[in-house]
Amino acid sequence: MTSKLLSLILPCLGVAAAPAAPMVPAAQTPPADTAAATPQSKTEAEVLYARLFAEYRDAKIKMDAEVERSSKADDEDSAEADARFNVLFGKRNAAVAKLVEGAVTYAGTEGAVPFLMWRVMDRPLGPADAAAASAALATIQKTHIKSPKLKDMLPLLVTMNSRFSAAEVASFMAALQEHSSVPELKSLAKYMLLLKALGDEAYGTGAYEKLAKETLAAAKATGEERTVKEVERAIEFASKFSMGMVSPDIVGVDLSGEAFKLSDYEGKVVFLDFWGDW
Amino acid sequence: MYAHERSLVKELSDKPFALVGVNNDNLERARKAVKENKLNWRNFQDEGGKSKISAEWMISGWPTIVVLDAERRIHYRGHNGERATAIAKKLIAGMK
Repeated sequence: MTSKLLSLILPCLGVAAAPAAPMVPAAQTPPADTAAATPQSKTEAEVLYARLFAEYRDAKIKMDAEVERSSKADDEDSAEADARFNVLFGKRNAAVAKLVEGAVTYAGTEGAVPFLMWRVMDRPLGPADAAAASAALATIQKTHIKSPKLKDMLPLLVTMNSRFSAAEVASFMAALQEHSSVPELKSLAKYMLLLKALGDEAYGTGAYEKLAKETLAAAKATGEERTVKEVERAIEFASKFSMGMVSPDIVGVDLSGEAFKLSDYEGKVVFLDFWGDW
Repeated sequence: MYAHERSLVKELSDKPFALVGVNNDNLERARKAVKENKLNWRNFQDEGGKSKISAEWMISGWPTIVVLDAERRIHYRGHNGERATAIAKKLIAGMK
């Protein structure tokens, strides 16, 4: 694999992922076509977005395939591989530029929304992309918060914490809760704000109990079993692993098969590292 | 990460401190990792696939670091090795 390819994809790999690790954001699909397929309802902007997104997706698939292929090819000519990749990367960038231009062309109108949502939901390949995503999010919040098209962002909301700052997420959620015309967005935003507050509250207090009840109610109101389970898990976690609590013991064996316990280290400060080599 | 932890073990070898791992790989892979990276701390086997310890501790991302004081109270839990180290050292300094 060429060093150029490595320098491109390494930042994307981020932290090593385990099967159920929330630290790696789930891949999200930007809206393919946000217009209902009735004869009159497709606007010029929607038609353009659909076409440009298809071009982008096609370019991205080809680029990703080349990265995949090249990572497995040990004995290929490095310069040749770089050249091949550069062509595909160039096409991807050209498609991105057109989508960016779309947001500008329709700025201030409903037509800009799918372009802005694409920018927010597409996985950034570097700091410039990330900054552009933040800017697009801010524009949506400022100018398009009532748009019914934002319904397409529902799958993204739960992954926002790993892609945007806590402040950005909190601000956006509050705006959705107050202004959104989409009921599902309002209720999910309300739930996410309460869940965050619950995480900041000290377990075992009356305030915590009250907030836990509210958060559970908000979770149920989303109609998603997943969110109810999420709160239950958050409460369980707080009941066992809050700061200052005595941790569970570990009774196990080491890599040579010899038995030992975490409590063997009582009297010492312990740096306990859960790790794996995969 | 390995280099930092290896040197931390050496640095604090005369202090009331222990670095303990909970390894989530299969045994063969874990042993290989220890050997190749010259890891100088003891590890619990968490039998990749079964992961009972990780499940009990509600670990949902790797690596996760937990810092415990001399009475096994939790003072840190997260992914920031530097922060965990600073907290561990502060706890040691506070012991007499």
